[in-house]
Amino acid sequence: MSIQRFIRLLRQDISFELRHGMYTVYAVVCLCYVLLLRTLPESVSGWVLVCILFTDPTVLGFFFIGGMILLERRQNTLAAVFCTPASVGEYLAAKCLSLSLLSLVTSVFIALAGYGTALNWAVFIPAVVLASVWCTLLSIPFAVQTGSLNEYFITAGGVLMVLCVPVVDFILEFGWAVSWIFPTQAVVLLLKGTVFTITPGELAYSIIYLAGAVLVSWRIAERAVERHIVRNAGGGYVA
Amino acid sequence: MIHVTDLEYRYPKAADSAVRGISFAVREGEIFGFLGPSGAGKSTTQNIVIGLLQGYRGSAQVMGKEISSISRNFYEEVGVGFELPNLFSKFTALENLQFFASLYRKKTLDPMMLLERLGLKEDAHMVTAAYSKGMKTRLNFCRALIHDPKLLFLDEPTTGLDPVNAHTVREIIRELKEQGKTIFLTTHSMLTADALCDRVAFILDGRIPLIDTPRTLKIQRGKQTVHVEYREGGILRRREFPLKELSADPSFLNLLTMHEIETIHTQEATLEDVFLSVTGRTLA
Repeated sequence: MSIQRFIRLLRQDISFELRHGMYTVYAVVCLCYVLLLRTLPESVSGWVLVCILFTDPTVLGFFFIGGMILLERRQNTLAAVFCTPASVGEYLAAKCLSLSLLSLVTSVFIALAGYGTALNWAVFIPAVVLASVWCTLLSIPFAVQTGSLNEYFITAGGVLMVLCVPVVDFILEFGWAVSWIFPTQAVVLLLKGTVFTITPGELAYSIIYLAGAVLVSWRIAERAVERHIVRNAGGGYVA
Repeated sequence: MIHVTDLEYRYPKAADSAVRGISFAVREGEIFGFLGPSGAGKSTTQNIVIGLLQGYRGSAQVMGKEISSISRNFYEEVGVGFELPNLFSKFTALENLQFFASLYRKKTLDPMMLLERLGLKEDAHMVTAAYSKGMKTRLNFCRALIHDPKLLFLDEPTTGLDPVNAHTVREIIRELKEQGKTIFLTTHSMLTADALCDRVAFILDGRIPLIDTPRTLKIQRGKQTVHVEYREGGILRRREFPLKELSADPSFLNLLTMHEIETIHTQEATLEDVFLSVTGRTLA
């Protein structure tokens, strides 16, 4: 991997997100989150913050990457990028970092402006970054195959709904054992650990599980881009 | 520069092979035309040779290396201009070229110089979403050239261009050849192929039935006659004469001296005629 090329791809992704109005849209969403947190009583705001912080990287990873890749496919730019020395790995890394940086900035803003500084920041930062990278990678195989945003939301949205089981479990405190199967349980636990306390065992489980989920999702995303984007870059047959 | 031997490719889940055992070679410094109708296997062959499609059978060597074993550095010396524009629509023409140029390690060309050559200098700071189809085609051509590659793959480089700009593009392609670049030109346009290519290959149903120079193909497949149009008593008349021993043909010589000649042409075939006679198909 060339660091110089990766930085250039990252800069292009950030400019792309900015020029397509993604940051403007998300600034409005963030302000709504902050207003919501400020109006809530202190007894529930911690729980609501965990839920908002869960939606922040997942929604960013999910909606933004879908929108970005569909726009890139429509503008046909991926064919040109993959006929340069840029690799699929550099492309994926730039996407993940641009979105996780945005996710981190907005999460910090929401937490500080809506809740305050009384958070475990040592858990907060890896929680948001890992969750954002994982959600971005998870969404890519859907984004590279679907023909429209609606189709993308139906397919990837269905998967995201299933993955929200641990969030429901967290909100309603059911204590479902099945939640531990989902990588989203690791996200929920880490975010819970930023506001409340979690055990060292829960912390270790969350970090290891989420890191593993990132590695597996990376490989799947890489193969999906190679199969559906690189192979079809020059037109002709569409796999 | 390119050596393809017994190349075969079948897409996953497809019943038939898209490319069926084709062989050809492209020499360094040559403009090689790859002609055929839609679905003939042109894009598949090109995608294999530019390293996008793996899992082929046979051999495809480019710049001395089997394409299945190339690294990303391969693209430092390969430029690809696709038929459809590949441009970031919310970025200006200059920003598009600067971005693509930044992905190469080697020294790249001055984007403004390229834009000027293609008549886009005045619109360099305009977002490409506001570009016309022809402007996008020209900018796409600039993108393929930005890193000054040794080997260029151009897919329909003059499609959608007005005659002046199409002429400019053809002129630049000729200049690139003079600089020693190798150009693999994929096109439907027999006129473009005829004007530019040193050799052409016809591809149909995944096979190459014919490879030769346009000149040889046109002469071999044409009628060996001369067609003359002349005036006789104010009336336009036409006659054909065998090309063989034309200078000794008394009726031809008599026609030249006795009548007002309006046109005189040999009857070599066009590339389209050759394609039709070889394949029984048109390039639609």
